[in-house]
Amino acid sequence: MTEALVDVRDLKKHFSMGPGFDLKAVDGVTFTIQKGETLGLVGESGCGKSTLGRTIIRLYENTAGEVLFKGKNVHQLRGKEVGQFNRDVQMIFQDPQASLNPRMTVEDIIAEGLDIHGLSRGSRRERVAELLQLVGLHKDHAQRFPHEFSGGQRQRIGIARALAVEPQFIIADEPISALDVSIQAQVVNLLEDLQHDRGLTYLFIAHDLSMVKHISNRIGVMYLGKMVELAASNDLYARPLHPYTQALLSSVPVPDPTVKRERIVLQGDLPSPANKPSGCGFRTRCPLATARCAEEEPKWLEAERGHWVACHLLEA
Amino acid sequence: MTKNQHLLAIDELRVNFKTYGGEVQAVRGVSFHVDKGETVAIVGESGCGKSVTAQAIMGLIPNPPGKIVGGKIVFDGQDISGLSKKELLGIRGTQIGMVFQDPMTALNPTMKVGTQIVEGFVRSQKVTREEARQRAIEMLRLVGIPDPEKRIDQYPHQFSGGMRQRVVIAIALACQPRLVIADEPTTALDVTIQAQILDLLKRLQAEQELSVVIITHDLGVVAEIAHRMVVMYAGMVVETGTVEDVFANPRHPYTWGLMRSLPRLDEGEKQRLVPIDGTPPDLFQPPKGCPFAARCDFAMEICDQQMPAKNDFGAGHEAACWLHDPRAPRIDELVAAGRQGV
Repeated sequence: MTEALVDVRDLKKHFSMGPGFDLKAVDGVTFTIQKGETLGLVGESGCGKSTLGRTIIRLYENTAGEVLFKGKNVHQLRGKEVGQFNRDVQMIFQDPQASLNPRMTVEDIIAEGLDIHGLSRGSRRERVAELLQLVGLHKDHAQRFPHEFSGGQRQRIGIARALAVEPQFIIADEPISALDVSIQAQVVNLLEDLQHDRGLTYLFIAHDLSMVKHISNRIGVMYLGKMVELAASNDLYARPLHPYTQALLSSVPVPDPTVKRERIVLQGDLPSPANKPSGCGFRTRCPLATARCAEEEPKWLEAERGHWVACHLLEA
Repeated sequence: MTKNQHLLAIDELRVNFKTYGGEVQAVRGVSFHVDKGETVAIVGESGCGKSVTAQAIMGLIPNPPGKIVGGKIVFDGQDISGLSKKELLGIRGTQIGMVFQDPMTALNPTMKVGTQIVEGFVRSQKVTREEARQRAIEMLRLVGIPDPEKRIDQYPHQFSGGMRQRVVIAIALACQPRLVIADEPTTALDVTIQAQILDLLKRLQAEQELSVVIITHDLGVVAEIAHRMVVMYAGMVVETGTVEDVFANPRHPYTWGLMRSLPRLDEGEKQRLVPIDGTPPDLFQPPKGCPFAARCDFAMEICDQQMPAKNDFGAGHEAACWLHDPRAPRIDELVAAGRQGV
């Protein structure tokens, strides 16, 4: 077993919504990410997947639990350690339009991290040119502004910025959702090449299940602030154990008119994370729910080797 | 209506938009038709003109800056492309309904949903208050909203995203239109909610013998719901045919590209994705030849020079590509390779 680069233990992130009333966006999540792997994180809007990513990278303080990066608790780093952590862990955002400062040139955007960490002395321009080429742009693009680029190109700039400080771990929060399909494939291939060449580790957050399956080694499924299932991607798609994962997978429309499937259409809507059902969060929409599901929260168990799930049906 | 007449026939539609940078040719000669009881999907990437086409049918192109500069939109035998706002009243909302992408912005936040549903109904037909109310309840029940008697007096913010989209569909259907145009109706929704809405659209389409034009970029949605599909690129139709034909036997390199660039949930061994390199052309100055030539692996000299004609492959399956010209080099192997991912 390789060393865990990221170790998340019973992590919680609650947002206060007034006295005595918390929105439990992430509510006790445990998993590890191995060095060099891609962990995919899927779930519907409001399930807490983005909050989880943002808490891991310290954009949010944690409420409880801990995140260990290379063995160190990231929420207790002090002084120089914080700078090092910020270099080691970088983020790629969903909306390449909103995440690039429109008043800065591409060169300044990409080199901002270099400047902050004092890595740019003498070689700033060369380094930016190198990074632009790495992500498939031209070095002459350095003096332009973000609005002069297409969505796919802007996302490449975002990737170049993340890579500038030579991180080991990249959190990509819906990096391709805003892009067209033919461009999505370009960006995904780029991310895969970079991982291969530089031994990067990814946490890939998305709601597009086909793309997550394509890029990830393992996948975690979230529902209402909890991880409900975690397994190797092929395993998860071949034999989903949790009723939510089963419904989620069967809801994805298959681009093939000859495939006729039995679809599990879930009734009702996602409950609000501010007002969660008791016991298992999924029980209000679960076709297999029993009385026990309302009373008791299911435990996070390894049902099969490397295949984790939280469901009463699988506990016995 | 004669037997051979299409419910909706679009013929060489052209739409331009004036901007500070010049005139954008957003739709450049689009033709397709929709028959009674048929679902037609328009597929393409952002900027390909699919939404503008839908807005043109509905008479929703803002003028200025936009203008229909050519072609015809024939609905039930009548060209509706040049009608005035007043003349459109008898068609828009009553005979053609529209479902928008984002249910939050499509609904008026200050109006009860019941009032919004019957707004068009009340205007087009003389009904009493009580009849209108009954109609609203009936529509909410039709689209599967539980407890409709209570829900019609609530406001949009009291509904979830999926429920709001059901309300938008109820509005589109309130006057019993013959054609519904749905512009990315599930794009803003989560996948389990998308499944509910697609099921609803399918059921309503079958029950009410509706004709539906659905605009989407998701080939999965197309395969799930449509009978025929129209693939658009850079303001033009590059391929059209039944969903079965186009998926089994795509004829245009852009369609091949779209299909290859998608990862599949049921892929076994991990395969590298095949993107389409480059970006779509600038529609301020569209290329004079095939718009896809610059990104096409199979482009020939003629492709840059001249627009290809439509090639007919039978059963309404057409593609505009020089590869299928009898004078083109024999490309059967290339075509087969292109389809399978080279």
